[in-house]
Amino acid sequence: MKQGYEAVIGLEVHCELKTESKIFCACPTSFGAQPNTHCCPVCLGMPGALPVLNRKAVELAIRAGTALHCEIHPDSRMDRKNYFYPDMPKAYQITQFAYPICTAGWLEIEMKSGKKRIGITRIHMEEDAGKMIHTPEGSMIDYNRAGVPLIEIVSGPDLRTAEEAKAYVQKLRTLLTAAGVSDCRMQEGSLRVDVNLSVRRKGDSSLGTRTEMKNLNSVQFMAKAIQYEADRQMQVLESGGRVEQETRRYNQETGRTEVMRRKEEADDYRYFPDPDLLAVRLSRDETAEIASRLPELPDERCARYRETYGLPVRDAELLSQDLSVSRCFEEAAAKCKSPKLAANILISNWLPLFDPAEEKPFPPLSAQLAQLADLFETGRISSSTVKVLALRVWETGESPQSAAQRENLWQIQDEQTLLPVVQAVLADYPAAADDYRRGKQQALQLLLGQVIRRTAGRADPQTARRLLVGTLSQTL
Amino acid sequence: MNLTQLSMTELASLLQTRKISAMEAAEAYLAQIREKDGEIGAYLTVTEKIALQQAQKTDRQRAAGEELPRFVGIPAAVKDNICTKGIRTTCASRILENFVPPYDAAVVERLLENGIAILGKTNLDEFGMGSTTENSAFRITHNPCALDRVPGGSSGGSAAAVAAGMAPFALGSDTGGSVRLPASHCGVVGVKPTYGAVSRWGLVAFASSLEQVGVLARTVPDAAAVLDMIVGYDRRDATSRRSPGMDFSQIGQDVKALRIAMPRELFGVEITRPVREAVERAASVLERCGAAAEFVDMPSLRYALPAYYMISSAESSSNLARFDGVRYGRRAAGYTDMDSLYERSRGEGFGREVKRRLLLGSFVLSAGYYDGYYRNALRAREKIRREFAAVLEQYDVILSPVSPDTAPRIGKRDPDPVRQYQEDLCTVPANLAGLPAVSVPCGRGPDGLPIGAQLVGKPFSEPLLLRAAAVLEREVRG
Amino acid sequence: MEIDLLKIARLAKLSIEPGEAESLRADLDRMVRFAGELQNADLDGLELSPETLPAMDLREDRTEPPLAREDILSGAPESRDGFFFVPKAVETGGGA
Repeated sequence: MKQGYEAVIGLEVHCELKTESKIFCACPTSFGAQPNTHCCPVCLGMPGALPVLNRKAVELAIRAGTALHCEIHPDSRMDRKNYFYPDMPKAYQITQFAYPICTAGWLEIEMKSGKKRIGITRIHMEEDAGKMIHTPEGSMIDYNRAGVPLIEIVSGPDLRTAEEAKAYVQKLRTLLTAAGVSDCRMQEGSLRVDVNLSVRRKGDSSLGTRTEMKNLNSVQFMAKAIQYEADRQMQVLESGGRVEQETRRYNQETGRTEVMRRKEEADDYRYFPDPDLLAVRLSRDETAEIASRLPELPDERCARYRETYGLPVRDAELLSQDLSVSRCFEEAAAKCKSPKLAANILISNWLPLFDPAEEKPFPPLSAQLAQLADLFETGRISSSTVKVLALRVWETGESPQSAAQRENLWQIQDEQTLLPVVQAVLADYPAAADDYRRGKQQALQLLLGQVIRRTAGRADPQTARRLLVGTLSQTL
Repeated sequence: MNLTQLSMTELASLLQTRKISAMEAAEAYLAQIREKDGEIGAYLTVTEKIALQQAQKTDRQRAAGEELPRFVGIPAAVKDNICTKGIRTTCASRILENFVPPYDAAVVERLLENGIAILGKTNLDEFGMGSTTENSAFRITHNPCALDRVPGGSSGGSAAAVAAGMAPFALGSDTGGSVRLPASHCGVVGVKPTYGAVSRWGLVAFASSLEQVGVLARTVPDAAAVLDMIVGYDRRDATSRRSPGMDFSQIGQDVKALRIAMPRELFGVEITRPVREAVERAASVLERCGAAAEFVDMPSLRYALPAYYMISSAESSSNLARFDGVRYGRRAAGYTDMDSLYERSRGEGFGREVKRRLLLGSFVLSAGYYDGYYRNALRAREKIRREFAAVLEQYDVILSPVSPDTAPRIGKRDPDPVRQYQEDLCTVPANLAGLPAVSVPCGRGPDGLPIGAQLVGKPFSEPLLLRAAAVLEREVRG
Repeated sequence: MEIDLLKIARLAKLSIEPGEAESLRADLDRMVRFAGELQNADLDGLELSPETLPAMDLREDRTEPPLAREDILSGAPESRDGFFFVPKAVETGGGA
């Protein structure tokens, strides 16, 4: 982004709620069924059918609001958003327009420059539409997804870069999966992100004209789209032009955003309160009960890790974000002698290899982790062997014990075994030996490194060091 | 003995005592339909096989000595905007001309549970929009009291069927008077229940916050019996309410000390003299029986018609949007893209009145007009509700005419829609306030046509209303 | 007031025959003016936020057997391979 300009970004995230049945009828929400086999008069918009709101959807919306520090409204209402489109069985969507269930929340993202709070304007419940498959002859419609419960989470225009947007989405995913609200998988469509982006001169407080980008089906593409669009808008402004308010899509092949075919005129949704539904009302007790049943969220877990395992802040934070990572750590911690060690091994060796954006859970390696930690703790393997075995375990899932046994990676602490190696090294590196004798401490590192290398990393550094020093001082 | 002249309760007792069989009853009514419906045109679909099957079943069960519900084997008609599984349900519209619902409305389930033999589906104004049944896309229904007159609407087919002995009772729907008005014009009893008392599951929605399934019957005790069958909480309808048990056994009781209010606004210049006199006579009759009646002022009622038309057209514009030619119903030929598929299917499928109301409704909800029109209508409605509640604190029932005049001639409607809508002056307030209302015949005009009196009460006061209506019925007949 | 009949008709997806347009516009005009009588009503202090509405019962999160696909598609104007079928729709038609 050229100097002097900044992008102003707001995200609207749609999230499928983890319920058994749809939001207004008892049809199953499970994924992957044959087309039009999860439908009934209600979700097909048949004459005479009526909606009844799913209690679980309300509960999950409140959980999301609680996790995002929102104000939860005990009274809210459903509205109709009227427009015609083949995937809309009633030609209106039941949503919450005037009185959403949650407002005024925030979440915190962590960037290199520090922590940043992003405002959450509102969270509301709504129903999903059916799915359309476009073919050259026409469009095929499957209403299995019609009526699946969604929450829409609207952020304030507080994000400034693609990186921040990524961090926001990741954090949202972390919180919502931890809260049991949704699976949040962009690739499966249970999490969808629309980006509103405008550009302005830095220091300007007014907002420029914004464009909307839709159909971004991964965090990576979202980030690329944001980069491209921000630059594009800036160039338009720089050349004296005007940004048009339009909806754009990201073309994965060209790496550019392009205008989606424009409609002749904007839809007037004619929102009005849905007369088939009365107020959604929860007592303070009910809301409190829902909040109390919230599964442990990352911040709580982080605090618990610091308290229970004595982990340093940074490690606790790293381990508490993703539920599958946390699970691996805790299960290992329960089995091994030193949870702190297990934490360290996980963080240094495996976290760098794990990408949450791939939306796959952390592999179930708790037993192996515990074993690895214990093997090191009891001195049976050296710290460099830990690294080797950690990689082996990650790639194959093999138990460290059997790998170490098979490849003979056990730490050598036996002086009788090590002494010949020490002597051989000293014989091969007379210069270094002399350097050490003359007082250069670093030379010992080189010699130690050699001993370790020649034992395929198995030499116990302490024993090796002792022998080296001992031998060197002897041959004076 | 002509079975089609009997009341439902009389028919039931003959059936129970096995003086007649259910087959005989069904056949008598089917014969009456064959004989009369050619000139009356009450039915859109006659379900002879279904009626006879139920009748046979009833007779079998009775012969086997089974314990049966009181009205088992009684035939009935159902308005064609109420879904009946496997039976064409058209709403008198071309857009649903061949629509066969895959499910039964809640009220139909209740009838079937009670062993009622469904004779067929009756004619209506398209989607319930109209007061004469002339807006049906398929046929005109004639008033059995005078064939050149309308039966009223929108439940004209149901009222005519009952009045002509082609059904002991019928279900209708009442959004702005659509059960009460035809009851009044055809000389039968009509009941609109308290909003929420009867499930709307399966009633094709016109104006969701205003309508209820209602009853058309020959006598007040009959109407009570049917009401008893269909009221009750239904978890499939979020607006359905758990009513305190309604005790209809009090119907035979007197009206001593009943306090009756008569709103001046509903006895004004819009009401023709014969109607006003008939209803005032009804008041006197009730007074003679121990009630006390007096005029009251209800100034909010002058907002009722505009509020009703805005709310009902707004809701209907949204409720009828689902008829888009995509999943069921009529799809026009010759479309080129989605827009033309929608516009042609709907343009061809809907009649003129429906189109007018959908346009008005879309307008009222559209950007820039919502606050001035729709929101104002909702607030006016609230005002009307409160005024009713206040009056019903001081009085037990509110008495008024049902219609300004007796049944108009067929084909003679005023082309000005606003003047047409004035017909509903007396009936829409009860829909806006969600209150129960009964239309009971209280006399005839000099033209010999029936005139109904309307009684409106507190929520769930149907037994009281019917009690007063029963007294009126007795006295008028007697 | 000049009501944009064609715009409303597009919103409501209703085709208007050239013959009907004038009389429909006149009808609509009359209806809107009639409805507008409420503008002068004394309606202050009557607000309609959810606190003033009755509350509804919520449904337990349980599934029930859906409709059989044959029943769903039997009334469909056009279907293919278990899907409903329509002419190609504009991509951004969705408002979601």
